[in-house]
Amino acid sequence: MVKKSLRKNTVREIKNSLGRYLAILAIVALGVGFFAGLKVTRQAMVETADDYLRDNGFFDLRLISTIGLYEEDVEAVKQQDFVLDAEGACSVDVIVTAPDDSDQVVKLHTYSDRINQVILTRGRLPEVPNECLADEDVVPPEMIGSKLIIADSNKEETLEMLKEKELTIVGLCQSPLYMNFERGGTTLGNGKIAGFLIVPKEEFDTDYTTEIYVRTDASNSRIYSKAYKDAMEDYTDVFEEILPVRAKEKYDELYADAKQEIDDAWEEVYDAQADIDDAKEKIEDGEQELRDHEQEIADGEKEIADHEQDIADGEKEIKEHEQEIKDGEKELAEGEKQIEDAKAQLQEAQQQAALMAAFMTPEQLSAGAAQLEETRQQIEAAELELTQQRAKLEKGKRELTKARRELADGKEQLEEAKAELEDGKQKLEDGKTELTDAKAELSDGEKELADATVKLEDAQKELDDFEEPDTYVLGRNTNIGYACFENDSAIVEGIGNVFPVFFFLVAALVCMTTMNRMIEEQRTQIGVMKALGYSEALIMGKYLFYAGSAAIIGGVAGFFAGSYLFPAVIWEAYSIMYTIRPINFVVNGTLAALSLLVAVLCSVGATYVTLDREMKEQAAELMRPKAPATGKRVFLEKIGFIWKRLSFTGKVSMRNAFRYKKRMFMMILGVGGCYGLLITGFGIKDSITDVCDRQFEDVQKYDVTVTFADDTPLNDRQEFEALLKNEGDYFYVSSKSMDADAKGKVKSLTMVVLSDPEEGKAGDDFIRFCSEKGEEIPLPGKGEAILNSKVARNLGLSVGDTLILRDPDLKEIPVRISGLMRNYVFNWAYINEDTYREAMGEAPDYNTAYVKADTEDVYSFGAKLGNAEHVASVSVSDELSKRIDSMMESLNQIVLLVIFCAAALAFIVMYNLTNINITERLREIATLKVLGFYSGETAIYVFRENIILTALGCIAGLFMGYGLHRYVMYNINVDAVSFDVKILPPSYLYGVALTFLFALIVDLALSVKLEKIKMAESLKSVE
Amino acid sequence: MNPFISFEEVKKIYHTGEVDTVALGGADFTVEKGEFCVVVGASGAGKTTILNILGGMDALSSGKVVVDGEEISAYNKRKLTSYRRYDVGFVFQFYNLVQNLTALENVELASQICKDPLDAATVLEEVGLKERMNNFPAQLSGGEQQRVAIARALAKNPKLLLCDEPTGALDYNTGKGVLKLLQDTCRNTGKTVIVITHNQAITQMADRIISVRSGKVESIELNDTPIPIEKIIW
Repeated sequence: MVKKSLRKNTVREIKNSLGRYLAILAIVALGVGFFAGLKVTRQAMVETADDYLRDNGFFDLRLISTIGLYEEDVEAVKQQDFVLDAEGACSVDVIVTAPDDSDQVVKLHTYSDRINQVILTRGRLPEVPNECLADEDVVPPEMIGSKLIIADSNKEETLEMLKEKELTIVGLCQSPLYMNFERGGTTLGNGKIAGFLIVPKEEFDTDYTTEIYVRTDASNSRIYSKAYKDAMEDYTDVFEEILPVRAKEKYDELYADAKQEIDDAWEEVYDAQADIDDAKEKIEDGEQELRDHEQEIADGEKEIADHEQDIADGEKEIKEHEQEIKDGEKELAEGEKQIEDAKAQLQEAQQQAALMAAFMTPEQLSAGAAQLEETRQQIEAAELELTQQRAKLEKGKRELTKARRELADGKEQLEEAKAELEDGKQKLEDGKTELTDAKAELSDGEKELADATVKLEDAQKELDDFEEPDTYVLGRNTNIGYACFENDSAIVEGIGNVFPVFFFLVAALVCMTTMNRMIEEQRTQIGVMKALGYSEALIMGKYLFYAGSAAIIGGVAGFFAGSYLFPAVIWEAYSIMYTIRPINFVVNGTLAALSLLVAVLCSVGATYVTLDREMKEQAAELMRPKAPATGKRVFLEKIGFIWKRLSFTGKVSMRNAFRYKKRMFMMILGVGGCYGLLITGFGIKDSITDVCDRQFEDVQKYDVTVTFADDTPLNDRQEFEALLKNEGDYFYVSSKSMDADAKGKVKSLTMVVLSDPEEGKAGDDFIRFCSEKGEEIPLPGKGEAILNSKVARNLGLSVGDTLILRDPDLKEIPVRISGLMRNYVFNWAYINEDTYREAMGEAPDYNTAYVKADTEDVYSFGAKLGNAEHVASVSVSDELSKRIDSMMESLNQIVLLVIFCAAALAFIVMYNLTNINITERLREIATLKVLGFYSGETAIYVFRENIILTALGCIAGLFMGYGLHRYVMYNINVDAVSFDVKILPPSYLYGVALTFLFALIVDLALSVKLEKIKMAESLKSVE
Repeated sequence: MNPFISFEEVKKIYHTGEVDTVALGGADFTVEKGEFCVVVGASGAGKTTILNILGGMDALSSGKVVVDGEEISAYNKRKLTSYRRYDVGFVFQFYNLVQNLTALENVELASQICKDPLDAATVLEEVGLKERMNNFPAQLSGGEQQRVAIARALAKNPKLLLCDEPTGALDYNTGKGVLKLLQDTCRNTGKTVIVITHNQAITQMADRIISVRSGKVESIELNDTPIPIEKIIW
């Protein structure tokens, strides 16, 4: 029963002083929220990343062999009992030409639905070798459907690896291999990988894979945990044993195969050589034969010619004979005619003689007859002769005919011989053609053979150069995203140590003052209860319950709110750098217990201390009013010249303000904390937002960065240079991603080889080399390097120290630091050409030009440069700066969170204290009202001290905030960025304005309460 | 000539939930200027309500209150505050001094808001606290504190001095001293002084005695021969 009425009393107490109860509740909630929120953030982040990586089958080990890995290697890996899964994968850096004609270096990975699964965010999965998924962080959604062309400028072995040379983007994705924005370095192009592409396995036209990804049972352990690290150490050892052996075996096999092949080929070459030699001989024989044939033909021809001559002679003879015969015949005919004539004459003569005989003497007749006889004889002789002649002629004719026949035969024979000869000639020609063909064939064969020999020699050389394989067993910590996340997720943890202490301190103070006031108010009641015989424990129980329940409710509420809000907001800010997924909300039991314990200790402890003091007094004493605290002069009154100048109310306020030291201290602490938080919040933004502007205005003085296609000689850039003749200036550098190694500590940075200064321009016209203190640093000489101070600090280096710059091919450049420069974004090392040439043995490829534009419109100017010959890509500094700026926008959330906390802090502390102040001074305020103070005057009378304390709080907060800001910025140690740690003047002003605004709001809220104070209070007796 | 103060059928009813409490059920009285008036009654009779209404600290439910020709019962909150500020000087039973201010400052607290205040130091000197001016209330005795309170009321140079059981928290002799101071003030400055008390003995020193009972004015007596406080014994 006793307890029942006490409980009623307690509940009523809470109802009646809800404001006070809520104040304790809220400040505890704030403290616990801060503590739990900041403490749980790392855990939540790590768990989120852990789930993300596990869900997507992130690899545990990546096995690499320089001779490639084969299906049987995968099988061998799977043999290990700790291996859950193993899969061959290919990756290669390639230069692709984007639709806008710019060349970019991208990393191609094979698609897998087992290890390192990608998360498709848009579009669909690639199905055929000429389709790909693109990097969601880099490629805008509009680019789905566009084509990327694998540039011809890629290395031959790269081109050989790939089946299709045109890839169509069919979707966008995230990959667990790229948790953060870093895409890594490459030996191609400008040394930076722009993004990744995921292609089907078939796109790689190889019988081997470049790597094997392994998932082990260690992946069941939390990432970054000791269990995981230990297990991975063991597993790495296992593969470091196996892999080299397998690789060596494979090497031997490949070597033997290749050697066999080469030997076989040589064999073939020798055979071919023999064949060729035979063929050569044959050709020579053929040629000889041909030559013989030719001779024969020539002989034949001559013979024919001789024969023809004979025939011609024969014909001529025949003709002569014919002529002779004709002449003979003619003569014969003439002879015959003569004979005829002679006969006729004879006849005439006979007739005449017969006629005359009559007239003539016989002598005359005889003479005539004799004559006639003679003539007849003559004719007969002539006829005989003629007959002989005729016989002779006939004979001649017969002979001629015979000769003619003979000649005709000869001619026929000749024709036949001629035809035969023609055939021979034809055959000869054919033989010749054949021979020529054979010769051509031979020379082709010889050429082929020579080629084959050369090839074979190359192959031989290659085989000789075929080095023993290197193998690598790489863990997750070689993945940039994974490694960076471990660091980055620890950032908040550092901050998490200082804030909660402060908030708990404030919470304890608030509880103490509040409970103190409450107990003072209820002195009489306590006295009465004591007098009634309630035990001390019971009486105390009421107050302890009051404070404790407020603390527990507040603590629970704060715990959940903090566990949700802080990770959510911080995660949002991290999304600048990390592409993971919405954060997991974690409820950490230990943390809950711990924070509740602290909260309860703060409130109940503070209550107990206060109560304990009161409890020592006797009941009777308690029932008497406590003597009011004596008015005191404040220190300021001793400084006459200030005090005298204060108005009356000013003096009153001063004295009131300093009257209660504890409350004053609390107020200053609360308001100071509020102001400190505000300027920290604004300062974080100032420090981070400005980074880009500073980088692009103070450090990188160029407007555009132009990257040329690989190995474009300097004298082949006329078009580019001509464009800049009147419109700007340019400076060539060679930029490459390198590892800076300082005695084992390694950081990745961009090495820039500055070309030698020419007339009118040098490296420092384009990049400002100046130390943190603002002193100019001279350009680096031979063997020297200028580093940005941040990376040097991280490597533990200072001016004069040496380090090694190592490129992706493991070539090294040793340098001595000649200066540490001011720089804000990314890490850099600047060296000169001599340094590079000496270490690398060749001139640097000046693949990059820094360009200053005279025009304001750098974008269209950049586009113009992009169209110039050999220009692979163009990036405008302003664009980069803007992009980073817009990413920084998400920091507003953190600033908002900080403002919210600051406001909560200010409200709780100010409201609570002012509330206490008012209840304590109820009488005084009522009296003032009775005295005729207008409500405004009353409010000012009461609140003026708040304003004074707020002002003092701001001053205190200035120091707190300055320190806090530095502390926070120091703890946010991001590798790629050096913050320009500062708080800008407007931030101080905003902080003051907001703090006063909060104070004003509290005062306004409480002035309602002031209004409600009844003047009759002034008539009551002192309790 | 109109009376300096007049109460006409003044009623005050407090509503608390469903219960109506009649604090004043139609009070009628007048007080002339320069009078030393004592309102007397048992506790709960309604004298504090009269004080509250007359002091401009509370509104009445019905009726009319006129002070120096002004109908204060018709005043709004702001006007009532001005009325308290310029016309009324208040002396409380528990002095109600601001603990954090010295005696002088307590007086100044009131005088600084007035149109025509008296010099704080002078007033304090007049109430006999010249030497203690710079002491804090906690360093003063009860009587001294009440003197500071009276000084604070006087320094405002009000038309009317309202005193609520000014001796209630004081011992006999000190109480007498304080009453004497009030009486002297009334005689010397011609201010109207109204003292509210349950102590019948004090009525002997008053010019006008208003007896209150159960929310009504029971009687109004005019005393033509007030007795100096020194001679009153209770």
